[in-house]
Amino acid sequence: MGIYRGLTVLEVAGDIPGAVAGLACADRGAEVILVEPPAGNALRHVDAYAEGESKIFQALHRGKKSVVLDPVTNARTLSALIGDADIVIASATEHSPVFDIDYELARALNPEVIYVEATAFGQDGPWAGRHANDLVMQAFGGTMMTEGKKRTDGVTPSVIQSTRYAGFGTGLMLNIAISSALLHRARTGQGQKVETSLLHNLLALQGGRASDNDLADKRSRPARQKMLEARRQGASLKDITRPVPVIINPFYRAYQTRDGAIFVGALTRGLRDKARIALDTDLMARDDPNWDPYDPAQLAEAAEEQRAIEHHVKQKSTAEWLAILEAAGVPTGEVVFPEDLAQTRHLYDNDYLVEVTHDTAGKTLQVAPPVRYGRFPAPEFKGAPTLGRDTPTILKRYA
Amino acid sequence: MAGPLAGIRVLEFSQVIAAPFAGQILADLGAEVLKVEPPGGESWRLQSSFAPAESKSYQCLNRGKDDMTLRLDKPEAQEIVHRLVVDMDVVLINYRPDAPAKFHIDYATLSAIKPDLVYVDLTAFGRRGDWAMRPGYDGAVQAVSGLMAAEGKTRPDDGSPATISSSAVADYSSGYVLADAVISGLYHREMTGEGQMIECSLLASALNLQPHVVMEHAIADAAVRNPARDRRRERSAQGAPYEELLGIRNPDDPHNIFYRAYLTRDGGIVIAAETPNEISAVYGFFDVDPSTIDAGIVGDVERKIESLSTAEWVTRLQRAGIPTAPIQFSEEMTSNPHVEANGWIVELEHEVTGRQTQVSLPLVFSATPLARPVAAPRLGRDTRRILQRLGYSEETVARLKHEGII
Repeated sequence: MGIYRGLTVLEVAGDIPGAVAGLACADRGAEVILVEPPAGNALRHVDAYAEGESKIFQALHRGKKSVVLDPVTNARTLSALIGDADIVIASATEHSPVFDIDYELARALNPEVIYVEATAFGQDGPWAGRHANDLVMQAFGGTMMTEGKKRTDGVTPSVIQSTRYAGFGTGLMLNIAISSALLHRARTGQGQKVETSLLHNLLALQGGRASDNDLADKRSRPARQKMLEARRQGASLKDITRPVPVIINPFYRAYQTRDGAIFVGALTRGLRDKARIALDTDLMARDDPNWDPYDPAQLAEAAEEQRAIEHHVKQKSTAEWLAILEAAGVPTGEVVFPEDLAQTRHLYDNDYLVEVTHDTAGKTLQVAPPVRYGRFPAPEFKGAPTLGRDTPTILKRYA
Repeated sequence: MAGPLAGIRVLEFSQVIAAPFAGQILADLGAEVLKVEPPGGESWRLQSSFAPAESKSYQCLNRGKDDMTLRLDKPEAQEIVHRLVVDMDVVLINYRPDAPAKFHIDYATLSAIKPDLVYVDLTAFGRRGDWAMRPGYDGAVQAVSGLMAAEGKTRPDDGSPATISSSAVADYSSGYVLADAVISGLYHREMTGEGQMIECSLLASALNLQPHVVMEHAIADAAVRNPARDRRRERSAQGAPYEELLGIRNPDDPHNIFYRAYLTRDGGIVIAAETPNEISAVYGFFDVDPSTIDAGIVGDVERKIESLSTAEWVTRLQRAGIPTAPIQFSEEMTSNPHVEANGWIVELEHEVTGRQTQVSLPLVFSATPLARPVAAPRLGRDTRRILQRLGYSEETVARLKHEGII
């Protein structure tokens, strides 16, 4: 059951974007056939705990079927599968594609097919045709420098490690490609190809950073141009600082408590007023009409007051602060480690963590899809397939 | 009209990032999106504003929309919404969890007027459980979803956890999730005639950026994940400082030369080997024996890389089949030759603040090409026009304005 029931999806991919897109289709009730080479989908081998089995594969392929095809000897079977599919997900952002398919071939076999494709760098430009994993994308797309984490030398950038958000984001964009192409096909009968790329998504996910605004950038422009000029001159990263104004925002940041850490999330003026009372401070900073974020004296004074708040928050426990901030109406939350989330009752109350049984791994606890449809409030989740589990039944259809 | 959503009408009650971003995606795809704001403007217009009720971030999240102001706590404003919704296909909302019911713009009320409405709702933490009524923004959700601790970034001043700042990841990913929720809901309506309420949350989106990390797996977790987790919990119970807990969660591997950044003579590169083949290619390239690697050898590799330019290293490493890239700055992207060749940055003219560039929607459709995007609206630009369409007289509009309802 689900919003995509009755649809057949062929996933010819070996990366996160393709897996995320296929997963959404499976979670919505489509029959998703993952086409794997004899060696298995590449994600099976990322931090594998057993031959061909990894957490990331199992997390991103639940509810799918696995068909193993040899790219050369099974080409005809692949064509037959494409001919029967409503949607083909073709994504090979990280490595060269194993299966040689493209939209022209798919359309010749199946004129109404919806063919979605993710590449690393898009179709044009000097890097077109290259592949990229997450670290390559962080470097190329600017997020590594912008994130600002540094290795122990204080200069060399450090890797963003909590999430491969270029890949996951591109997967979510493929979901949009699929749903909007399905809507168009439902209205007109017409299929089409929809393309996206890791880099384009990474730019879109950075908000206004990869954009210029003549008026808004007036004050920051001199520092920015100085930095760009230093880059053109071939300066070392040791001699370049990003032109970011120092932001003193004591009301939207994490603090250490006596026994852990909390986030104070007062993003708007009204909430900052509440946070000032809860944190017992009169620091106005950006809410002072005379505040100048470029004035070193004002910054120093605000930093001093911020240190006092840090000291103050450390005197009480996380539980005490959560109670104080909630009572004051200030958005807040405990800083938790992902490995502790299984202890969080709220996640079960919302069905955000669900039990999924895998053929060989047994019971696992997985993250549920991010969309809850009122018409299908309780989807059923099946485990990811073992390699080639469904080859015989699928091939029988074409015998 | 162009794009796959041509002819679709969206009524958007939105603020800050997630729902505005979703509405912008829908507008890029050809939908007619009407954003409702309070008469003073939503908070994101006022955050870091560079002109009255105009901020750069707001303008990058609201292009292509119409805009009307309504004071939703007033019954007359609610009446306007109830008349508007008759012609709408979609309602998209990310107000505080208690706001929709309070303003009579909740699903029960609006679907009684328009039964096949696709109503998509975003809260911070989900509509069930202890936190259901809690407000929250990206930072709080990064904290409770585990992303912030997993990132392990700390503030330089006092070592407290720092927010992931290269993207407001919970917010922006929720924008994608919401847009897809709307469109898949429209697909269902097209197939069945049924509308529905669809629920999303910042927290669910944040969990879905790290599903394999959050996942509990008895076999896979036994060797490394669970022992580290238990050790961290033990030290936490003993009162260990946060930075020590982070160190247990995210141990440093100083001898990893194959997946990290390096300084070059004129900037930096990453070497990004992940597969066994790529990793052995790195060891071979630098003539390093992984079994005897130590700090001295790592230092040699670092100095060697720093002696040549970024361009030379990228060429050499690519030739050796090693994943690599130059380290670039976000600020360089608008003039990056590769980005320019793909036409991903588009130039827009804002009616009040003038010229700007923005990142286009990352989709190319073969059958339903997208129209060129237009800039975000000024506050309340379309209020009068919309009210006239609904049949309100000039006098009534003037009175509503005078009373602060619009």
